[in-house]
Amino acid sequence: MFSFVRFEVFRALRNVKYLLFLVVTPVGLYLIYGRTSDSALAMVAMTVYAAAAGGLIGSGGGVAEDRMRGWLRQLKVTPLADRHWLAGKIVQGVLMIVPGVAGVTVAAVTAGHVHLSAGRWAALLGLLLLGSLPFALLGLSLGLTLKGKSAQIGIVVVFFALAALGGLIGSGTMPYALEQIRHYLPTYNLAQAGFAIVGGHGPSATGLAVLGAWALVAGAAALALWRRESHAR
Amino acid sequence: MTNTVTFTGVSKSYGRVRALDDVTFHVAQGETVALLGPNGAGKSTSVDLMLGLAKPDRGTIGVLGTEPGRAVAQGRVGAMLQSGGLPADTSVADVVTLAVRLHGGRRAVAEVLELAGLTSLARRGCDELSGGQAQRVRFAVAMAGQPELLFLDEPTVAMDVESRRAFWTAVRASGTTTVFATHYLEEADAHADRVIVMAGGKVVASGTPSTIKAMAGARTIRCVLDSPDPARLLALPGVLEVEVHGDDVTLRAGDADRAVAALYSSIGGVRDLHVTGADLEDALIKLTSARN
Repeated sequence: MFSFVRFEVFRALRNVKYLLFLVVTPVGLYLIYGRTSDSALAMVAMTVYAAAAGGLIGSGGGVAEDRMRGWLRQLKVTPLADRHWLAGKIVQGVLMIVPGVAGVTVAAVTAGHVHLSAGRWAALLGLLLLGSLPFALLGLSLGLTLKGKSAQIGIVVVFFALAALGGLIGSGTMPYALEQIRHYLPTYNLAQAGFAIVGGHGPSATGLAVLGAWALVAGAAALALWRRESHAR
Repeated sequence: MTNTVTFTGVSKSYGRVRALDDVTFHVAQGETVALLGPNGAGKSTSVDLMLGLAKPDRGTIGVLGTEPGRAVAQGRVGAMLQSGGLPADTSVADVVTLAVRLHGGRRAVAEVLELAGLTSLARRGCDELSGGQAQRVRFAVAMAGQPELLFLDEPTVAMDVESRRAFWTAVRASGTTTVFATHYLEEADAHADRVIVMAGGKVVASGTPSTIKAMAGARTIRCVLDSPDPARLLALPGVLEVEVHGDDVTLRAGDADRAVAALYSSIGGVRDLHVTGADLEDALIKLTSARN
C-alpha cells in the first residue's frame, strides 16, 4: 500500500537539482526584496511562491518527464492502483513544496526579523501545507496534459502567470479585468489567507473555498488523466 | 490445452490509420509465441491491447480467463514495453524493489535482481545504465510478480549478442507463457514454439518456426523464356510456385541456387535472369496473397 508513496519520497529527496532550485529562488527573492517592506507579508508572498513553484515545476515537471521517458506506461502495466498512484504523487508534491516554504520561513525569522506568536505560526504553516495541495494537483494535471518538451515550458509559463496575477511578483497593481480574474486564482487566495493570519484575523471563507475548489477540480482531472494515460510517449 | 490469450476478430484504428484489421490468434498455456513482422505491422498495438493499455474498436480479447486490464491489476501479467522507460533519481534496486512490492512481494528482491543479471548493478542509478542494462531492469520489473503470462515487445533491441543469449536463457528458464514481438526472423526461429507473422495490421501467416522460415527464405527468380511450360518449370528442383505471363516467368524457389542451375541445364534459352532475395515482408505477403 505504501510502497509507491515510499518510492516517491526517496526519489524526491534525491532530486537535489530541483530541491535547490525550489529553495534558492524564493529565499533569494525574499532576501533581495522582502526585508525592505513589511517583512512578514513578504514572507507570506514568498512561501506561496515556493509552494506554487514546488507544486507546478517540481511535481508537474517531474510527472511530465516520467511520461516522456515511458515510466508511466511501465507503471500502468503493474498492479499499482489508481488511488495509490495519486497518494504517492500528492505526498511527493508536498515534499517538493516543504523545503522552499521552510527556507523562506527560516530566512524571514533570521534575516527579516519576523516575529509571530506560536499560534499564528502554527496556523500559517498549517495553511501553507494544505494550501499547497491545489498546486501539487494542478502540476500533476498539467504534467499529464502537456506533451514532451513543451510540457516544461508550458508549466513554467503557467507558474509565472499565476505568480504575477496572484501578486506574488511584480507591482501588484492590475488592469480591471485581471483584477477580477485574480480573485479566482489559487496563488492570490493562498497569499490573502496568509496575510490575514499574519494580520491576526482568520482567512476569508470564500478564499478557502476557492482553494478547495482548485484542489478538487485539479485532483479529479489528475486522476482522470492518469486513467486515460497510456499512449503518450 | 487452455488458451492463455484469446484475440478474436480484433480491429483497432488510430485516427485514419488502421493498426489492426480483423486479427485473430490464440496463445495456449505454456507456449512461447512470436509476433513477427516489420515496423507498423501491428505487433505493438496487439501487445498494448492484450495489456489493456488500449481498447479494441471491434473484437474481443481475453487474457488468463478475464479482461486484459483486470489480469494486469491482479499482477498476473508481466510486460516489457518497447516504449517503457525508467524514472530519474532512482537506482536499479529502487525500481526493482518497487516492482516486487507492487506485486505483493511474491518474490525476494535479490532473486529478481539475480535472474535479470542485475545483482552487481543494483546500486547503479537508472540514468547511468547502457541501453542493454536498462532493458534488463525492465525485464526484472516484468518478472517481479512471478507472472503467469509475459509480454515482451522487441525485448533485445539494445542488447549485444552475449546479453541476448543470457536474456533468452532467463526467459526460457522461467517457464512462463510468453508472447514476444520481434522483427528478427532468427529470434523468432530460435526462441518461439510458434510464430504469428503480421503485416499491415493483419496476420499473414502462422506456424512453427521451420514452416515460417521455409516460406520467408523463399526467393523470387524472374527471367524470360521462349514459350515457357509451367508444368515443366514446376517440376524443377527447388521450385515452389510458377507464374507465366507470355514469355515472362516468375518462379518462387526454396533453393534458388539449384533452381537456377536446373533452369540453365534442363531448359536453356534463359534471358534477363535475376533473383530477388528473402525480403521477409514481401515473401510472406506474396505467399499469403497467392494462397487466397
